[in-house]
Amino acid sequence: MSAPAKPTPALPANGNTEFTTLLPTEITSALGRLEFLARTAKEGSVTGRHVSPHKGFSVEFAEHRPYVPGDDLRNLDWRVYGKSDRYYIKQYIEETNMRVSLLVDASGSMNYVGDHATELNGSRLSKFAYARHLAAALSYLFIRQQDAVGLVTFDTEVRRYLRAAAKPSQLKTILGGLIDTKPADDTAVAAVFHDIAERIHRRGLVIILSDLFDDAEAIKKALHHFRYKNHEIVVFHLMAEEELTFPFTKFDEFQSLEIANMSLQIDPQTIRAQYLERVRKFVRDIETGCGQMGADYIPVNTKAPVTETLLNYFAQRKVAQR
Amino acid sequence: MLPKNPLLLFGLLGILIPIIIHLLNRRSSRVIEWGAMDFLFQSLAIRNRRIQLEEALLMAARCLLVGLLAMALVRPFVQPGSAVPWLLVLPTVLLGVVGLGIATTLHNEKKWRRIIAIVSILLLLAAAALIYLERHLNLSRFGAAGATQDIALVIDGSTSMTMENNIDGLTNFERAIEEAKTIVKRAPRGHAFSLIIGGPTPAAKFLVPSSNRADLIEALEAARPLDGPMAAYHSLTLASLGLAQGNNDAKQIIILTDAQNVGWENGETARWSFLSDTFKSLPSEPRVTLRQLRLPDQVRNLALSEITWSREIVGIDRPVEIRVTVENTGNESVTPEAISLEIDGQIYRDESLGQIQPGAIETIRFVHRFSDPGGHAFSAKLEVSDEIVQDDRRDAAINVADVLKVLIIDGHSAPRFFDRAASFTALALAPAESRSAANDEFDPDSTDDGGPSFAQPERFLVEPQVLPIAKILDQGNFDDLDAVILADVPRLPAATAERLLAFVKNGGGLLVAPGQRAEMTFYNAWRDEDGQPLLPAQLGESFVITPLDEPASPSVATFGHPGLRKIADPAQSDFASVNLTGYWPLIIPEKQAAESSVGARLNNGEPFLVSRQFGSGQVIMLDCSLDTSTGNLPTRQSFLPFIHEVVYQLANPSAYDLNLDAGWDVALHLSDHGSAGANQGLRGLYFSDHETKKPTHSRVDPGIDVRWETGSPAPDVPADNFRVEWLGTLQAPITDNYTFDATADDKLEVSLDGKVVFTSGKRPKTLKLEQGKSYAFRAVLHEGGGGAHAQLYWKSKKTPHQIVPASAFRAAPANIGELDPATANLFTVVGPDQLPRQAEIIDTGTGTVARIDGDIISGLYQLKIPPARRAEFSHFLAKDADSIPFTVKRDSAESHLAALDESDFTFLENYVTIGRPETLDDVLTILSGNDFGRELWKYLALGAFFFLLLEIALSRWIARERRTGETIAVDFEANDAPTSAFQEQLARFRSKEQGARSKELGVRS
Repeated sequence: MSAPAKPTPALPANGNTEFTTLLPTEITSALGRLEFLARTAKEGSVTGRHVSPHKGFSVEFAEHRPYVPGDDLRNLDWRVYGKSDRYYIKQYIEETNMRVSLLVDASGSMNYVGDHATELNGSRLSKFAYARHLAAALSYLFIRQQDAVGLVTFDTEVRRYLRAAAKPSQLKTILGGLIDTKPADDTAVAAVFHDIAERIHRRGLVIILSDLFDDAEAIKKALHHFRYKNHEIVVFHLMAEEELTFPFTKFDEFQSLEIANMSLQIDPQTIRAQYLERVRKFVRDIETGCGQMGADYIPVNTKAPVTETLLNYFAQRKVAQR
Repeated sequence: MLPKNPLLLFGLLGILIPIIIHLLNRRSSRVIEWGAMDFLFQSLAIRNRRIQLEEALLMAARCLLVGLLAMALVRPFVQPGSAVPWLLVLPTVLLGVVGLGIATTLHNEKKWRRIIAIVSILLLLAAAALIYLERHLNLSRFGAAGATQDIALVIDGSTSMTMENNIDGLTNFERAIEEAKTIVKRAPRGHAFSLIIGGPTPAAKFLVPSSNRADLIEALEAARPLDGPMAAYHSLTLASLGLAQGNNDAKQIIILTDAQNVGWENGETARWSFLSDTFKSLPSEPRVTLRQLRLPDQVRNLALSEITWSREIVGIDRPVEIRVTVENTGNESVTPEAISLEIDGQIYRDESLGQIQPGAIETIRFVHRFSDPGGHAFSAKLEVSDEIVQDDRRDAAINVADVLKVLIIDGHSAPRFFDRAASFTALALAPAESRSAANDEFDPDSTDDGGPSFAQPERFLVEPQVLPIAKILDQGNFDDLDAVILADVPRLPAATAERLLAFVKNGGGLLVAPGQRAEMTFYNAWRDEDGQPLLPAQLGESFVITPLDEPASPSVATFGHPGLRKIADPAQSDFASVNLTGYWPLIIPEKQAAESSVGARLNNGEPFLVSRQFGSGQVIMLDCSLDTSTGNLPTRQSFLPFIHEVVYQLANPSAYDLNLDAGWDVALHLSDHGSAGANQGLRGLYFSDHETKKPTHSRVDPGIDVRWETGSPAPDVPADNFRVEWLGTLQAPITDNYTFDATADDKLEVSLDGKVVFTSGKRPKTLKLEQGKSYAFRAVLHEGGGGAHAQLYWKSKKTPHQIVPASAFRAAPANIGELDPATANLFTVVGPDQLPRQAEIIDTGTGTVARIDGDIISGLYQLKIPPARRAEFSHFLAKDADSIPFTVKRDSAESHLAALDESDFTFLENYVTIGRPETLDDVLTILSGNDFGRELWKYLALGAFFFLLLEIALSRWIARERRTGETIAVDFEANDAPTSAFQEQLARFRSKEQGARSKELGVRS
């Protein structure tokens, strides 16, 4: 297979600063030559258009099966026929371009920054900003791979829905979509997921970037919905350090990020234990749920640098793929 | 409950500290924009109630801690007689404090928060009001606290106070004196003290309150306990008398006592009401502060609680049995070594007493015969080692009677001896030598065995004298006699009847035994000038003759009169065999029912013996005669003791009592009826001319009512040209303006207290005489020639014109001329402590008494009689004795150590305000105008400490509940760690990147 020229990073050329802040060189350089490979076969629109830098990847033998009339003779394994006088078809792992849907949570709770969040471009990242960076990086990666990438932002409902496309300009569209999104409003992750699952018809890769602040069972059900549709699921679960350790000691007013004028004045000490227990159970539920349905679960603490999160994930994924 | 430091009540504001801290803590320091609100809400939802509870508990504990601390600093105390119970006030305060605290923590229940806060504030206000009310009540109760006061210090000088205490070897009395000294020294300036030692008769050392500390201290140091119980009631009365004379308005009585329950007259509502009224009549009602010293719980003690003797009148004719009672008043059994009785230098000793159990009473009998009449003292001693030594000795005195003179008026002078009405009686009273054996046989006192045998008496106690009715006019007055017996006398001449009545009124005894000859009209009409009948009963319509086969006889079972007590035993008495052939029905008129009493009845229910007290004397009336004309009474064996005992009764035994009860004051009654009668009237000195100083004759005249006419007034005095001086005192029966006048031949001059009130031939003067006061009376009659007579009259609005009666006069002593009138009646008394006291001889109108001054303690006293006055009191003087012995009885209750209990105090507090401070410091606090009471601060401080611990424990518990500080890690890392190869790669990448960066930097630089 002839390998087409590796597409240059689909960064908007006209030096849009917003785009560069969203996808700084730190990330792009770190991504380097990384590739994201789907675990399940994807219904690519253009078969074999994939140009892999690693030859042999795309022609990897999978299995033999008996010939039935109508099969392409090119795939007949003549060697087997010479040895055993039987017709067998050589089957290869199909190379396809993936349809990747990036589901970015834009609910109010994603606006939480926290004192420990990692800095990028000189400011601490809110969970949403973090998710945005991840989404941008992933889009960049997939577009580079010539995969089709779509973007869905949502809060209580789908806010923006960008159909998946593999064209290089898609990156710009996605980045623009990400920039335009301002998180607000409540979270209703599970309901939105069901909605999205119905909308994405072709099976592909669903990457969820969210704090998943909803009922764990409901979320699991929603994820199952994706699974049912034969999507491969990757969950980037974003949590801030404070949300995980609850380090507050003084009497504080907790102002809801999602619902205006909703606040709670409380001595944090009095409920810390209960809160943490609850978070722990929540995280464990989500994680085990993901594990059971074969979804990738990537806990993301916003205190970790974005690149490290990405690199760790890819390293992990490589391990998992073996 | 009252605060000692009321200003520190503001310390309660300290509860604001935890409240403010809480509120400050709750002030939100910052607003955190938070995403995971659901988790917060969910966590809160399950914790909310619990958090509120924890906060409320913690706040309550903190507020209580501060509140209790504040209250401890206020130093509240409970004063006795607190009107508002502290158990109400204190919880109200604390409840208010807790409520405020809790209200602060209720952030989510606005309505409840407000309600609780309001209720708490109301509670606090209510508590403040209660404290104020208490303070107000307390102030009004105790009047001007803080002002200078008159303080009566009453120190209990009773025997129980002199018991040595095991703790420090001090007696309670010594301790009381020390405390009293401290009180006097440390009392604020201006306080004045009167000082009273409480004893059987309280002794005032300083009656009028004095503020001279030095004198008071000196008096305190000189104070000695008074033996016997403390008459607390009397002591308080005396104290109030002293306080009445003080200058300060505020009054107080401080009693230092062991509060033994003897002498408080508990239950005597009338007495205490009186004292209460006395207190209220003072400028301010005194408050009684009772400083109670501890009475020993355990005591080993035997007490001689009583000495009695077998007969009321003891003569020298027969031995007397003396009974000494030993009582164990302690808590352990004691064996005395011996008991001894000393009489007239003779010592009887009895060692028969064994172990005496607590509460047990033993009686030891001694038999003694007195050798001479007069006052005899004797003392019993208990040889034992016990804790109260004073009651191991007991004294008693007996006035041994010399002779009882009895006049028997015989109403039937028959020629045959045994037909005469008085013969049997006379024989019975003065038995022949041979008959005295029979006498002994009926004397229950005589001992059958081992008793000392005595020689036949030289004379008998009773000296009878028979006077036939025909010679009745020969009898002048009856004053030398002890008793008169009317044996079947038909009637008496009016003058004799009147004199006899006066004799009884003055203390003489009269026995009336009417027979068939008695005239009903005379007896029933025998009355004094006020119409008061002399006899206890009226004679009935006619003499009753009993049928021969059914004779009446006295019923022994009904014998109740003290004179019949010895013959009331049917085993020894043959009274049941008395058969009366006739008797007078005795009728007690209803008006007399209170005074007369039936001492014995016949078997048909008719009275046999009726008696009554008339004036100072006694009248006994029988319903039959004392001869054989009305039955066989005189021939019975019992007749002899019967007549003797009746005569003893008539002889007024109480006049011989030398053993006095301690009371408000102690006075010894010295006049028996004989001397009292002799004392009535005027001393008449008869001079044989108008000038001479030395009287020819001296005698007592009943008054000035003489008609000698041409006769001689007295032996050796001429019929003409003589002079009579009547000396003595005059007492008016009622206060009034009296006018004296007289008929006299030749000239009478009367003066009262040296002022002439009447002279013959001049207008009589009118002057006011006060009841109960004695005026020196002097009347001089000059007789020239011719008939001599003198009658002195007086009249007033309430008194008719009458001859001044004998009862208004008291005769001067025979040797009136030789005595100094200022000191004539002041005698010396030596008390049990061998210290001399003064006794004043006072004529009270009903008799002569010696009133004893100085400290009265229980024990034996000797009233010294000056030789010049010996004759007057010879009746009480033993042979060769120069003093009359008498005793003040020890109240044997003093030996029982029991303190006043709460019910006693409840009774007392109905009448007086009693504060009971527990320490001397409290007493001093009261003196400085402050209050005292049970301090509560220690408990409050303890409570505060408890709540401090509780607060700590609670915080810890809450922290544990909230799991503060516990690390609860949320596992939020990727499950599969990247491979080591990747890690290396990553590291390499990073270093490369860094290198590139540094290169970049290097280029730039």
